[in-house]
Amino acid sequence: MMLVRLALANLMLHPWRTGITAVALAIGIGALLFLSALNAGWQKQVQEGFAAMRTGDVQLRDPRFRAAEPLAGLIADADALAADLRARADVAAASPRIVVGGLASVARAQAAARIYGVDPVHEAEVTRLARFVRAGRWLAADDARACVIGKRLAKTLGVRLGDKLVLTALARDGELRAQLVRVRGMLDSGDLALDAHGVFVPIGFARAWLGAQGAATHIVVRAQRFEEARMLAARLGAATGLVAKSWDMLDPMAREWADFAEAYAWTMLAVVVLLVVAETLNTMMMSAEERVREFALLRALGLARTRLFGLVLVESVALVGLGLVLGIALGGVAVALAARYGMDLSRFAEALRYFYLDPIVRPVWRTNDALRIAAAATLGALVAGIWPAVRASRTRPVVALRGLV
Amino acid sequence: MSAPAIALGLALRNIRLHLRRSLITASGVAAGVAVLVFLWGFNDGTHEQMRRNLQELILGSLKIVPKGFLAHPTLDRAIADPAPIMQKLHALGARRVCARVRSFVLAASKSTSAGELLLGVDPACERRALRLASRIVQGRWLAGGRELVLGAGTAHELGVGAGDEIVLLATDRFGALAADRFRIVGVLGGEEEGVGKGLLLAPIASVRTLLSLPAPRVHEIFAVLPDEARTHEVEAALEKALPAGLDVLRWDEIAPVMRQWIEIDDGFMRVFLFIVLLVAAAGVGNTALVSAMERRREFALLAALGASRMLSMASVLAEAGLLAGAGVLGGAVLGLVAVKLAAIHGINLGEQMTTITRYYLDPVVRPRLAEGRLVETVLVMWLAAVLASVWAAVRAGRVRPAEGLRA
Repeated sequence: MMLVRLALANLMLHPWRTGITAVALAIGIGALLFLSALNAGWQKQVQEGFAAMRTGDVQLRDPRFRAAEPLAGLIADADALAADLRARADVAAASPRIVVGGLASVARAQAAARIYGVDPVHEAEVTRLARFVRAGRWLAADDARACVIGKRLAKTLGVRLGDKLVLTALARDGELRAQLVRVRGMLDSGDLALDAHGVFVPIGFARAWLGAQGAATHIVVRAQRFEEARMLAARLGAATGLVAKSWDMLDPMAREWADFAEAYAWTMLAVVVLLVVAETLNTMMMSAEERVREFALLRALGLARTRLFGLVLVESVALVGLGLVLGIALGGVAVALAARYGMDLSRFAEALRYFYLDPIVRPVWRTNDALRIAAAATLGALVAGIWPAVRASRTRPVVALRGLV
Repeated sequence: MSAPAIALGLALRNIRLHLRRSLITASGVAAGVAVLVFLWGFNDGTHEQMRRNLQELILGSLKIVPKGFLAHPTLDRAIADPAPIMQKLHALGARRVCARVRSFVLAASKSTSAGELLLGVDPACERRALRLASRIVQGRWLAGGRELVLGAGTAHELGVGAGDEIVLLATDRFGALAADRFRIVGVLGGEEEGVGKGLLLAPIASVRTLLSLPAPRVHEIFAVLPDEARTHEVEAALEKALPAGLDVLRWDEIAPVMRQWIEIDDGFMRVFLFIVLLVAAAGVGNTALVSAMERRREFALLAALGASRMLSMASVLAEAGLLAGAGVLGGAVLGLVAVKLAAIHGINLGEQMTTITRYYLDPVVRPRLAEGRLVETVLVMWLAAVLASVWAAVRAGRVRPAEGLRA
């Protein structure tokens, strides 16, 4: 306790030096905490957004399914299977889909289309697509020849709500078949592929058109807990005999980018720790040089070398600790304010939405990040304190007499 | 001896007197600058790769299309005579200029169908202008006739490969359904968005036939500029010279997502720069403050001898400037060496990030600093460190001659 009192007293003796160091550390730590919270918010959005928009948390397919022959490996009696899945405790929602490639055309224009036959009610429970219908409405249970199309696709074709368009695709019998549908809604999801090529039609209509009664190319599942998607996939695969893949197995893109962002955050943390070490070392070295006679006096009064070593180390940790407390408070306030009011990055809306990010950015506080930063800063303080502490502990008592005789 | 020379001499003497402290302070700045230079190099290197790959693989630096064509492409909107426009581009320094026709089509294999973008291209011109031809991993590049090259993703989805035939179905210029059989002669490697999947390339003559589009009509003319920095200048010259009814679009107007993403990335780096700047500058400011406190008697003596306050202040600032200068120069050298080494050996992200090429990044990133980046980083860091020492200098300037008598 005496060491702590002495260390704090010395820090108070030099308020400017202590203040400058602590404030610099606080701003650095606070800013790092804020960036970590921003990163955490984005990672969560990218992964969940990707799954909720593109793949669902888990997809089930027939083992015979091949991308090049989507209507050959269908799941038979898909509606009943989806209902069974919905009854499970670890499944929040499940919906069958038929997905094929095709062409959407009007009188003077045509565009590539990715045609999704979906269950209007259950699809809205599994993915967020229905929420991104910005004009018109999502599909209704009793819709027949209706479709919701991507906003960019509508622009490419020059169609408006209520207009008709022709969809052409290869049916199960190997014949090219065309169908007329009416545009009921327009999707503005931010996902370039969905907005430029997505066409959503009722699954009943798609089944009749493509000759796939009662069947589905896959069943999309939303897990009760997003984090457990991989485990859920394994359980569903074993229970149904189908091939079950989680969102990151279907397309590793979102997880890879999240991992990259995490690695980048660690790099930044390492850099800031390096600077904390340099800054603290600098301050502590200056402090140790000034206090040679004080250390010598303490030695002459019988203070053991190890205690003197500890004194300087405690001072170093106390200095960084002060910066840390201020920094966490600063970062915490900044995160809370930004989370409450949101940071408007609409200027970059297209890029952000491309990665399933909301242009209004809200950082997410992660206590783990704060602990990680605190641990790293404390470690930095200890490392920075060792050298000055060793020098202090080597001070000989006779030095105290310098200038007095 | 002039006052600045005296101030500089005093600063140098003080640095020598406290060599260890000075070295620690300068090292802190150097570490910060070195890391920043390296991270900027990484950032700039990836951005450069993305921009270059996008332009040189498929898009070109500039594109000329009928007004509004890219948002709402209809076959009847075409550039009737591309030759004068291509000549104008050549006159403006563009050496790689080609014309294309384009339409969405339905591609049907034996087992499935998919909507694709079909580009009718001049095979020889595209081979010279872009890197697409060098990306063939199966078969060969286009020669002529009803031949087709497609991305590996499209080939996988359609279940086809080089040597197979597929049927292309489209509405022609008159609104009638048209279909033709094309033979696949080559498959492109890579996963780039818009190339790996969703794209078919065929000789321009065969596509014109499919779409009933008479020569020399085209839908777009693109140019790859040898110097990207001239893009705005060439764009402005074209807009003046070309007739109305045409859009001149830069690559970043066609692909705003990439431009915005680069801006966000740079924004984050600047926030990080600010953090490093602050911590490193505080180190210099702290040293300057301690130094000023230690030298109170020296400043008092100078004041007693009639020296102006400015001399004491200049001496403190000179010490900070020298320490920060040594730090930023050392850090810049370290950072540059790191950038150079990483550029030579490359940083292989492809092993961990299998989807990296979708965004036009190479699997191996080679850091490279953008023009002016080093100077900007070094100057900002140095200036911040000197500014952080102003308070110490002010305190030195306030020392009264009487303080020299203490002790």
